[in-house]
Amino acid sequence: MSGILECNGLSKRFGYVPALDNVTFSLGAGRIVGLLGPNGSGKTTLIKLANDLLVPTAGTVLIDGKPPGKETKQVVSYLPDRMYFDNWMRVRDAVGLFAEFYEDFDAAKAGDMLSSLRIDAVTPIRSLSKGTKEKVQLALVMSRRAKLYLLDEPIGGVDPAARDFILGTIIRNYNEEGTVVISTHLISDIEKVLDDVIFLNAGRVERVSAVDDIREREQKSIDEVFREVFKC
Amino acid sequence: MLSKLIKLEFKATARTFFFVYAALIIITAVNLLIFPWDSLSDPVPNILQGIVMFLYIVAVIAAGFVTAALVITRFFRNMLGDEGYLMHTLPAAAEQLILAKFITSIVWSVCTGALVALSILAFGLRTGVMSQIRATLDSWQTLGYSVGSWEIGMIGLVFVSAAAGILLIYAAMAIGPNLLKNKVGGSILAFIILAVGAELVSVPVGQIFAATGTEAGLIASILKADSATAGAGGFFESAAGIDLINQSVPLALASQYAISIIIGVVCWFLTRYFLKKKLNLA
Repeated sequence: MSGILECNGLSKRFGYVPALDNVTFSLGAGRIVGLLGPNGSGKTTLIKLANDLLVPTAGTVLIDGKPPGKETKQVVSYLPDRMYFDNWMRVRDAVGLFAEFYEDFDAAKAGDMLSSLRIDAVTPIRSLSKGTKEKVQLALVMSRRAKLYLLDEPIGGVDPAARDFILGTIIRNYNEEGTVVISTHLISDIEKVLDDVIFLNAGRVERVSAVDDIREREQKSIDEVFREVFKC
Repeated sequence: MLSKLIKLEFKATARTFFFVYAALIIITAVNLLIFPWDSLSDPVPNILQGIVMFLYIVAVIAAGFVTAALVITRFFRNMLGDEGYLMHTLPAAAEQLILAKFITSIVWSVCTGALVALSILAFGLRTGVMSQIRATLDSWQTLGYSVGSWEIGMIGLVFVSAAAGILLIYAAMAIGPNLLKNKVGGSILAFIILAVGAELVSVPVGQIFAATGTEAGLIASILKADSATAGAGGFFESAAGIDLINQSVPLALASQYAISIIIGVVCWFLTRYFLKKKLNLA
């Protein structure tokens, strides 16, 4: 049976610079997976390849058995590491856009999340603070009943309180039959919610393992193992 | 999906065009109302008239500028900038994304062109210039020139050339990030390369049409007739001359159509290829 996200010999080079080198792994459904690695390890490149934002130099990436394309975009909910809404939009326009383009979008859920954040639907997105914009984006991404959530650095660059909110939002709202991939280098904040981890280093997979296996076998936290693996 | 994308494009751009068009309509109307057309020869125009006329010219230029700027920036920011992270992850094919932007750009370009043309037409009617132009065209028609079909052909050519121009700009922007790290610089470089390429395409295509001999024959006949038939109605009023021109103009138009269509089709496939296979938003 094919996994929800499968990489086979996946490589990506930018000119002569390798960003990913022969990456192979498979993720099953219903898991929360940490894509962990230091800056420049290839996390964002891997997520972009799965989103059809880059084309592999070699190897394949399959989402639910299909190469990235129009069909897979219907089942992947992607949170990039930047703001992607147009300046003319109000919050309600962004909600409307998701409702129009994604069949699995739950507008009521998005409305509830935005209300709990006290964000008015008529507010122009450009007038929101950076942190609030990120929360709006996360609320919309997590309001989809997707098969695969690809979240690129969702807790990077935010304060600890906001990290708790973001992780809480992810855990409370994801489709439990789907898989969540969270890329980050802030391990200690995130390890309590993870089922599996993938360690990426300089474009290569160092380790793919269940979190419980690591804890049992090595009697260490993921953060400790990460520090050992990526020791400078 | 395409209709949803087009709707999104119009929603994103309509507000800007609404203000530009409203400004153009208001300034045209004010100009038509207050300008004393019977004193056009007055060497010292009223300051107010001068200001209103200046504003009118600015509004006409601004309408064209805003249209061109929006065609470029909308594609650049929405497909190659941060907004591309949303657009390229919508469940739509790359062709649909390009087509939605292309159709919207064409519609706005036609609207701007039509509005500016109507505005100038209104001035022309007010001053009587239009009736003079019409009378000249009618006299050509009476002589036997196919003026009506030329007019339709010219309007169509403006439309096709504009479409090819938009696709050339899209292709330049899609290729640009692959040429230089600086996307704007790369796009300008790609535009120059494509524009030179388009010129290179136009030469052989023009030669194919010229090879019929009609254009060469026309030029030779005009040169000959100028000296031989001067003062006797001239070449342009002779049956042979009218026949030759009636044959040549459609050929010249057809060659321009062919050049624009070739450029447009090549640029469409280039844009599609680079957005599908060479996309790099970083």
